[in-house]
Amino acid sequence: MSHTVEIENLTKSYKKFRLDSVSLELPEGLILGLIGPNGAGKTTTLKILMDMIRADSGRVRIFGLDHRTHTKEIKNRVGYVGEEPQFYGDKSVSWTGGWISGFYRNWDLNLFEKMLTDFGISRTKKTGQLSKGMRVKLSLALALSHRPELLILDEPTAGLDPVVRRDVLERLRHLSKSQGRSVLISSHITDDIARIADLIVFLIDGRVTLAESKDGLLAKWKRIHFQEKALEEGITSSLKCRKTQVFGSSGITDNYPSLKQRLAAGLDSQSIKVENLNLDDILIACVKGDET
Amino acid sequence: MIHILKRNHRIFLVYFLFILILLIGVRFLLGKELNVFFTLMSGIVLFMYTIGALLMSEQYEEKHHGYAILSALPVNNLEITGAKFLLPLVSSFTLTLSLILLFSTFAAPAPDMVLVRSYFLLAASTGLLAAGLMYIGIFGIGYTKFVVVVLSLTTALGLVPMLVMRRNRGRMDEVIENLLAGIRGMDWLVLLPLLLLAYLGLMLLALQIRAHRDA
Repeated sequence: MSHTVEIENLTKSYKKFRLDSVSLELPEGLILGLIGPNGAGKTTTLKILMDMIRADSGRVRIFGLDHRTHTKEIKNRVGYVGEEPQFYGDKSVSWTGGWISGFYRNWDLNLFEKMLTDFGISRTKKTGQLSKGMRVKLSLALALSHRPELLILDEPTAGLDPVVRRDVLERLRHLSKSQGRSVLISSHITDDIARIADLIVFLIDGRVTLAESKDGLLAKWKRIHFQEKALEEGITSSLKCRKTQVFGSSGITDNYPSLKQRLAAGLDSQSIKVENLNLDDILIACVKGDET
Repeated sequence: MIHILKRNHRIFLVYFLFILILLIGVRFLLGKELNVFFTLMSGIVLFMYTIGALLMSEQYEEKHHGYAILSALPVNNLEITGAKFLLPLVSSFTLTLSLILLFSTFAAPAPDMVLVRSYFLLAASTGLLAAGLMYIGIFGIGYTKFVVVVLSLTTALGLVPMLVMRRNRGRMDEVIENLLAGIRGMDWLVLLPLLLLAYLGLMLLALQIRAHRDA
């Protein structure tokens, strides 16, 4: 499978933050969710991809092209929604669409008009008068109207109401599954990522701490509840986020399939119970590490 | 590039039309004779036009995060920088030409008309080079910081004429005569290509600065 995005050892240093050797790959037609706490480097990574920020070192290839030397070609094939969508606030929605359309080879005016209608955005309203949610919707409409092969979305669902949020996510999933577009989406709302992503990358303190398929990740990461001495010492010490309470202890494993056999007896006797985790739990476990 | 020009041309055009209409109006209030004060002020307006329109245009970009918007679109640095440098060049050239035509309606001896033309070309050239330097400053440190620097520099530059006058007390007529002779003697067939080369050089420098800065 060819890769739409390839990032190798991307590094960018600021006074109080460093993006440290970030590497990741997004295969064609899949959705990659970039998850991390605020300030983890998600926006920096996406802005480097869009050549809005210069990396100190590392290599980025999009559609197999170097992102610095083929910027214009790449951006013609990419739809980007930034963390805080920016528009000329004194211009109308209609003017904005018309102006931006001039930069793209494949602008589909009908698609843009349809999305404005779907999103309920007034064409005559000035962009400066739009609410935050409406600005995000307009940004999405602009990003999708040139039928991009890759979508780079930085916290696109922040500020949207649940109905529109769900609609946006469904659109993204449809674009990926039915039309083979690749999507790179960052969010700290892990529910959104869990709903649509095929691949998950955890970015914490400027480093990639986890990169795996969503299904693989959810299969490997489990919370184990156990009574005293029900677990082998080796297993207990390998657990993250260990807690001991009145009714027993618990901890998180990132390698459940390999432990399954060794836990079988305890599972049968019900001295051990296994609980599925969501991406939030995994993120917290990654951030806290072995902290008990 | 045309779409960037489409975004930025309005401020330059509005100022251009405002200045031109104003100067034409004043011209026809004056008589046939060349008016020294009007000539002097027209040159200053010509110089200020480029700088004023540029600052207004960049203030607008700053207010609406214009460079951030452009950085997400399929447009390269050369197109952005080229469009930014093209507007002052074209509008300043057109305004200079318009002023030269307007002043040709005055009745004045040929040497005086040569001086007027040369003075306008000098004002426009200085404004254009200042515009180039301003883009370099804005691309380098951002509009807001740049304006602070410019205001400080302008205050400092305001002291220069005072120092010149103080140093040449009692012989200012001679200084002004020499200055006028210098302006009259400028060979614009040589100077204009040099000006364009210098402006191009400033544009390339601005391009380099943009290429190494984050949007």
